[in-house]
Amino acid sequence: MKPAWHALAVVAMLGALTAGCQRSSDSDRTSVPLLSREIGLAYERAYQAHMRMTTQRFDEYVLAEVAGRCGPVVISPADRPRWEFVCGVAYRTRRGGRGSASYTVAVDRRGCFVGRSSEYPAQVFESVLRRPGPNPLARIQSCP
Amino acid sequence: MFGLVSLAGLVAATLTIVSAAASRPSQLVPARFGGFPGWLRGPLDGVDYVLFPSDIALLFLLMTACYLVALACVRALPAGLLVGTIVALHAILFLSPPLLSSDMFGYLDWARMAVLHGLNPYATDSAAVVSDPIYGFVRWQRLTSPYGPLFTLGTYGLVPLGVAGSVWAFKLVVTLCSLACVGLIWRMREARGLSPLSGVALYGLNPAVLIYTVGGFHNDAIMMLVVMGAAALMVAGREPAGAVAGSLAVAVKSSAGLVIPFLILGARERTRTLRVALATGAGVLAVSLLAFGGEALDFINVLGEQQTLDSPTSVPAQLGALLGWSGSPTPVRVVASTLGVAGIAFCALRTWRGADWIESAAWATLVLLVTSSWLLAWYIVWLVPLAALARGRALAGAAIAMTLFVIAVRTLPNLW
Repeated sequence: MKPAWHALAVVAMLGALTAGCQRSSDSDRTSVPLLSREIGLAYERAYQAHMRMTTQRFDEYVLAEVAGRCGPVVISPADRPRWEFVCGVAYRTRRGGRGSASYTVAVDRRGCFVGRSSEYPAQVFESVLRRPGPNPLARIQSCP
Repeated sequence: MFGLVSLAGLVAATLTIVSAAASRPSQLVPARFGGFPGWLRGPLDGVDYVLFPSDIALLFLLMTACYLVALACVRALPAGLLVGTIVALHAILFLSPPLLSSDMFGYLDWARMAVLHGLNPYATDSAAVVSDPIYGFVRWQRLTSPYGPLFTLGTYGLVPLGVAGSVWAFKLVVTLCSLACVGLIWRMREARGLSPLSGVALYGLNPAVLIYTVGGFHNDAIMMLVVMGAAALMVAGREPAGAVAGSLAVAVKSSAGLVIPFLILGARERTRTLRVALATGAGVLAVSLLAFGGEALDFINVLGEQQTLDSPTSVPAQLGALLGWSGSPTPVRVVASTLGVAGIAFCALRTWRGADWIESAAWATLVLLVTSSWLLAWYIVWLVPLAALARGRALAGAAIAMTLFVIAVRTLPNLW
């Protein structure tokens, strides 16, 4: 066997290996449990960002607990782009405060999502720049 | 024959990892929390398959096996094919989203906060400007810049390109710096009367350098290009220019400071080289103070500060798994630091007595990596290019062993 054929064989073998990896499709772009968990984590990051923005202080543990819960609104066929959910987020701060918020969430074909909430003002005062900026809690975005 | 197969395996495995990282958000791309736009994914995003952590670990191990086979067969490999493969690997990684790290967004975040908002990177924590579009991609939240003023000022030039443009420009810079290191290794090995191929392969095919340093787009590649430039100037007999370059490497990232004493001790005219290095350092210091104020001087003590940190993948922490401690507790850290300082001093003494300064600097770097309680995977690039210039096989063997350690502690736990 010529060397070039050996190289080709390795490439073919790796091709087969990767083909054997789990293929994804639109139908597994997300699931309700996965999105519920991820929206909770994204909300926690947005809450930390909001605190940072308004007070210039960062506290990784400002929230003691966050729980997200999502339900589908529109799940179109695999070849259509519209996947929309309504998600509720409940949280408890380390100091004992509680709150909740709801988001309409659009999921793209890779499972990345953007959630929008009308319960928060679109702009908040950004302390470090001394001017208003987009409220991180009004629009949250992440990927699983 | 086996060499060709191993090169093909390296390219195929790298392409598989990169295309998987680009296609679906996964742990391969930590920056995904900020979203997964096209400019982050890059052009290799069409394959649409998922790699689980065990798949990624297997591919890493396959790359490592191919690397070892390629090194064993390097004399049989055509030079053009070897260099072509290294260029192809770098080109694939250039097209990749930042792998296993989002540090580059931290670099660019500091640059943006300085240029756009007038904040000092040495006095302001990262991610301070939440409304900046780069915020979501930054993973550091409480860190002022630990990097040298030359690097920091250099990143300012990328800001007008916007977030996407500056990301791609920085990726290009890191990729070209790594390729330039390959070129310098080739030239210096020839200048030292050595065959260039084995040194070039040791660095250019190294899976830890490729995936962690180049694929992660870490500024360590930029720092090492300046270090290697300094070494090349010294090898060419241009000692003052080498001393200037050495000091500038420290101004990129202070980790390069470990090499400078060896560069000076290895010079034929030590006093003159020392004077030039000090004068350059004083110039850098003056520029830093003018540009950033006194806070900029904190970057000098990065290596010292890192000894107070604790990474579970460091050698002392991994030894703990065998000997019964967790992480790097203070007594272990003290012993490791003492051994580290003694080892580096021994290497310096050997250089003073006439040992090859590049090899001594490489051994000292190895000592630092082994004894540090803070070892990140991409720090392997501090060692491998210097080891690639060694005359004997011991340093190359040590660099390979350190590469295997860095890969094993990160991949084996994902296999089961």
